[in-house]
Order: sequence, then structure tokens, then C-alpha cells
Amino acid sequence: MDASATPKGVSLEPRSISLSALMPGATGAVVGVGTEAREFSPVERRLIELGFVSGERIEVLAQAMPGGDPFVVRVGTTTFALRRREVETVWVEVSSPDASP
Amino acid sequence: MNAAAAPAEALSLSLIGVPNCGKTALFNRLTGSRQKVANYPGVTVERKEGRFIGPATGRTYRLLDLPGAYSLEPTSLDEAIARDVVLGRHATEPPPDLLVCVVDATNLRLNLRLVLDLKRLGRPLIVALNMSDLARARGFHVDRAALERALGVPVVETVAVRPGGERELVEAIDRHDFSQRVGRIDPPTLTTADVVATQREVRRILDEVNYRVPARLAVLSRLDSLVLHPVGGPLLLAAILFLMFQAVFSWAELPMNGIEAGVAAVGEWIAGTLSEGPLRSLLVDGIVAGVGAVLVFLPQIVILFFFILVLEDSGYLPRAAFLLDRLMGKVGLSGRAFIPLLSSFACAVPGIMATRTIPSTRDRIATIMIAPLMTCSARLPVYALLIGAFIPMRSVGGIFNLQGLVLFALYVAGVLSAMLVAFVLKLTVMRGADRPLLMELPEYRTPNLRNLLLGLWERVRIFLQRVGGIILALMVVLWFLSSFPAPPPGATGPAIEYSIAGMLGRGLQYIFEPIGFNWQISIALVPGLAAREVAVGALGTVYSMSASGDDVAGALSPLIASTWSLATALSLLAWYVFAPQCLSTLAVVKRETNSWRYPLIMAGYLFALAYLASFVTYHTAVALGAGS
Amino acid sequence: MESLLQSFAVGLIVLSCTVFAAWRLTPAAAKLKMLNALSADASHFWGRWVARLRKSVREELTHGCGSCSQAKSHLRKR
Repeated sequence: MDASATPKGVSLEPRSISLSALMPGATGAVVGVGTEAREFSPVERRLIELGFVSGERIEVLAQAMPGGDPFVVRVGTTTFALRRREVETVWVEVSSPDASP
Repeated sequence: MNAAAAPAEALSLSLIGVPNCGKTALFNRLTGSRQKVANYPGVTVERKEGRFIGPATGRTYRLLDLPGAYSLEPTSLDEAIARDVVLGRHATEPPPDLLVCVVDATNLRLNLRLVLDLKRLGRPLIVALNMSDLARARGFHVDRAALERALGVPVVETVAVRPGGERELVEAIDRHDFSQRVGRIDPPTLTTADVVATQREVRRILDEVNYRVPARLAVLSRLDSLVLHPVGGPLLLAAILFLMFQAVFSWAELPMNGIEAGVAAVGEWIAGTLSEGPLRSLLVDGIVAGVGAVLVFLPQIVILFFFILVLEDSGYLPRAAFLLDRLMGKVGLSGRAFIPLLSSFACAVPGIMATRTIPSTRDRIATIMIAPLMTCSARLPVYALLIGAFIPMRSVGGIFNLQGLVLFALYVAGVLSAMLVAFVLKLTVMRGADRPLLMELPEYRTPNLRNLLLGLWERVRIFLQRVGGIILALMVVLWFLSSFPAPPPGATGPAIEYSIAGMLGRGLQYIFEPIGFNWQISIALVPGLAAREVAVGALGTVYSMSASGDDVAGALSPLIASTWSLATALSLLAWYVFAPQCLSTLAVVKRETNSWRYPLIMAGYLFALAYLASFVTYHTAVALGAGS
Repeated sequence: MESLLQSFAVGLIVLSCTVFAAWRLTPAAAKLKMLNALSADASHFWGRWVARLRKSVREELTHGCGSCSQAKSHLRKR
């Protein structure tokens, strides 16, 4: 089901946006992690190991105030608290567009 | 291959798994009490080894419980050790003959990639599908046989929390053919594409074995939307902490009165039974007055830990860490520092040891340096004594009681000064970018009553052990120092003024007079180095010894209320917010950082801050008219 | 007579408490060094006692904390 979704170059795909841009309530699916230009950074690699892989369902549950950082993301069946900067290069396809900025 | 042909020496097995997969519970189940706990040489990562015997073959297995690791690409010291052992490249561990990978059946997605990484190494592997009963009860669909076919390695179900839940694993280990042995393995070089491919493989396998997870309960989602709410969340956190400190005072009153009366009765009974002499003085003034003064605080400690244990068991703590992360980030700490810091409210020593899970050395040192500023439970008796004696029991705004408010303020003062110190460290010696958070928020659990009671009993036991052990011993020594040498004939003042302790107190008074401490307090601070609560007991002994004539040791609180000024009491409270004097903490810092530098810096800065805070508090209070 | 007995009991209690407190406050590494120096004769009662002490000091060394057993229970739980 994820044959077309490779992590390389996904940022160019029009419908995918950075996970860091989502607001609470947004749901969607991971398209991929990282950019084509370079190898994974340690954080990106760890994110993949924690389950941020293409096709996985994600939901933004909450954000801290002020600043909206860190925020809480549910990926698959696990919930994580993450800083926005850490997930800048996680690309997602949003399924409830009303919650995106 | 049969047992007789197996190598004569114990076969080495390694237990590996991601954090929170129930690995340690399974290790305990397998090895029971036959465990050896030590550190890996040169580092402070805990090494746990145990033995068990295979019932079918009679073979002896040496089982090593490796630190939890998400993958073989280490981001912390723990993970580096786990990887080295698994590869057979660790300097002091033999290459394992068999790996047992523990996976959490309720979180296969996160666990399976480690299994695939391990399988690729070529070392023999058994997968223990742990918490399989819980998974089924919660509506997961996990097909063990299908998983075994898909992975191509033996998969057995285990239930680490139930007696006998390890049986299938033991049988599988016993069935394993140990003739094939693998030595050192070169570290795998995984490219970006490999990492993605592994993850895709995980998904393929999960689809293939038809792994189904239940939808998240709606009630939990609703709970999280309140607990994690940007406004409601912090308010709830504040309310919980507030209730906790209120309860420490309002619920404890009755049992404390009971203990106080009991202690007084014992003192009177001894005084009436024994004739005048050194033994009577030792028992009444030394032991009953000193130990009794500390014992009284048992109910308050139980109440505090009741709250901490409930919060810990329910899964709330990581969520509190999330709420506080922004604040912690501002002062250069990682959100992960929250859990070690919270442990430090019990005792700084386990808190400092818990910093081992912080990947960055710089973050770890910063966290260690501020851990003693979290108000540990040993400081509670000191706070409670002074608050009980000097702060009136009065309600504020109809709902809060003033004593609870002051206690809350003291805890907050500790936290705020920790933030301040961390901020200064960030600006000066510990500069650097923020580090990632990446913290898992586990599902909520209902606190288990049995666990709760066990945890509370553990706390009571520890407290009583301290009271009956080190505190009692120090009280006796202090009594001796306050009784000898005996006053010269014709002396008028109380005996303690002529004793070693009296002289010591007078010497120390030169240092502590500017911050308002009298010589009795100065004496009490010295044994307080060994255990902070001892300061309270020492005051009990010192005042009991100073009492003239046949006075039986009375309760300490009214005594100091009538002899100290409010300024002195507030100054001592301020001193204890920083309380530089805890030898155990300094010793553990020395060991954890493997240098004298940090414990010395810590002792220096804590002493300076304590002195400064007390000085300012005392002189402000005196200027406001609280000096007499 | 009774006061002499009292003095004797007090002396005994004070002495044992001093030894106990000093032992508890000695860093674990130093304790281990002392025990290693003592252990030459491990055959009789005294030797076994030294061996038992050494074992508990080793545990203390790995658990981290001399005078607070809080650390131990905390780690056990993890």
C-alpha cells in the first residue's frame, strides 16, 4: 500500500506538509522522513525507529502553551511528546485539512 | 544434540529489548533471587546477571539482562553497552550463545524492528512475546504461530508478571541447539535505505500475521485532552501538587499527636523506672528525645509518598514532564531531566543515579548539579518542625491552610532556585543547543492497590530503618558529646555548655551567628551532614540536655517556639532549601561523574547559596521586626 | 553498684553506636579496602563475617548509597 511513498524527495509532493506545521486535532498519515540531500540525522533515524514510517496514522493530540512547543503526537498506537524542531523533516499527508494552518 | 555433549561451562544468554517491554520483570521471573548486580567496568551502567538451570537438560544458563535499547544504533551509554554485548565486541563480556529478545505484545510495531536488526546479525535468537495475556485482554490480535513463521525464529509467549509465565521460554531455551556458536560480529553499516527497508519489513510482517490493535478508548482520549490542555493541564498539575502539600499537614495531625503522646509516655516510664544516672540520661535525653523528634514525622512522609506513588503508577508523570518541558528548555535542561528530578523529591541519590538515561553528558551533569535542590523527604521533618512551631494553623481565603501554603512555598523555592542555577550553568559552563525530547507517554493505568501498599510499606520500612539505625547511633554519639566532660563542680549553667558539643557549638556559632543561628542549631547541623533528619533529632537531644533539673524531655516544637525568634526560624528554613550538608549525595555525585570536581563545585555553590539566602532572610526579617 | 552498672552499659552502647555510625559513614570503596586487608583468614566465624560484610558493601557500591537504602529500592523497581 505504500509502494509509491518513498521518503526521498517527498517534500516536493504537493499534498504532504511537515508534521511540525500541524495543530492539535489534525490527523493524517506519515509519508516519509528526511530529505534527499543527505543521510538521516540521528534524530531522524530515531524517529523512524520509534515508528514514524510511511503509511502510519498520526494524530496531534495536544501542544504546550505558550509557543505550541513541545507537542504530543500519537503515531500508530504509541504516544510521544516531541519538540516541533525535531519533526520538521517528518512529512505527512493531512486527512482533516481544517486543522492545518 | 543432547545435553551431555553440550559445553561444560555455563551457556551465556543475553536478554535484550526496547525500554518498557517488561524485560526486567521477565529476568526476575527467570532467575529469581540468584542474581548478581554490579556495574560494567569503568562506566555507571548497571550490569545484572543471574543463573538458572534448564529442567529438561540440566544445563546451567548464565543470563545477562542488557540495558534497554530501541536499536543497535546507540544514542546513549546504555544502548552502546547493549549493542557491544550483542555483537560480542564488549571488552569483558563473552559473545552470547543465544539472544532472547523480549517484545511487548501490546506494542509490536515499536518492538519488531529490533528483532529484525538482531536476526540480521546471524546470532541465534529466541523472541519472547511478553504481556501476551494483557494484549489479548485489551483486544489485540496477536498470532504467535504466524509471527514465528514470518520471522523465521522461535517465538514463545511469556507473562512476566505471573508465576509460571516464563515456562514456555525456559522450554524453548532448553530445546535450543547450542552447538552453533557465533563469535565477534562486525557492527552492521546500515544506510538510510536499509533503515527504511527494515521499517517497511516490520509493517509487512504485521500485516502478514494480521496484528490488530484495539481503537484507543474514548475515555482516555478525553482524559488526555484535559491533562495535556495548554491551560487546564498546568492548572490541574498545580492543583494536584497543592492538594498534596495541604494533605501533608491536615491529614497527619491526628497520628502525629498519637506518636508524640506515645514517645512522651515512654520517656516518663523510663524516667520513673531507672534511678538517676548516666543510663537514664542516655535513654531519656539521648534516645527518646532525639529519635522521638524524628519519628513524629512518619505520618507526613507516608502521605507525601502516597501521592507520589499514585502519580507514578497512573502514568501521569511523563505528562507532567511534557507540561514543564518548555520551562525546562528555557533554562537549558531537557524534558527528560524531569523524571530524575522528581525522584530527587524522595532522595537525591536515586535521582542522580536516574540521570543515566539522559543521553547527553552535558545535560546529565546539569541535571546532577541541581538535583539536590529538589526538596528531599529527609528535609520534610525539618520543615515540618519549624512550620509547626512558628506558622499558625490558620485558614487562608477559607480553603487553604497557612502551614500547607508555607510548605508548598518552600518546595517551590527549591524548584525555582534549581531553575536559576541551571540557567546560570547554561549561560556559563554548559553552553550548547537544546537536545531532543522524544519522550514516550505511556497509557494510563489504574494504580494497583497492592503495589501502592507495598510501595508505602517500603517507605515506612526505609524510614524506620534509618531511625533505628544511623539516626539512633548518631543520637547516642551526640548525647555522649553533649554530656562529657562533665561540668566542673559549682557550675551553674546546664551541663551541655561545658561539654565537647557545647564547645563545638560555640566555635561554629562564630560562623552562623550572622545568619541568626544559636549554638544549639550550630551543633545540630553537624550530625545533619550524615542524614538531614538527624538535625531535628539533634535539636531534641540538645534541648533536652539543656533543660535544667528533672524535666522530662518535652515536645520539641513548643520549646523552640518559645526560645527562637521568628527571624531565626525563617533563616533556618531558608538554609534547608539549599542544605549543602548531605554526604551521601556528594559521594554519589563523585561516583557518577567519576571526578572530585563536580561534588566540590556542588558543595561550594550550595553552601554559598544557603548562607546567602539565610543571611538575606534573617536580616530582612529582623528589619521587619521579627528579630525577638 | 547500680550507678557502676549504668556507666558500664552506657559505655558499651556509646562505643557500639560510634563504631556503627563510623562504619555507615565510611565511603564504600574505603570499606572494601579495609575488608580486603582483613580477609586473610577466611576459615572460621570471623572470616565468614568479613566475607558477608564484603558482599553487602559490594552491593552498596553498585547501588550507590551508603546511608540511604532508598536508592536500593528505587532501582529494584525499575
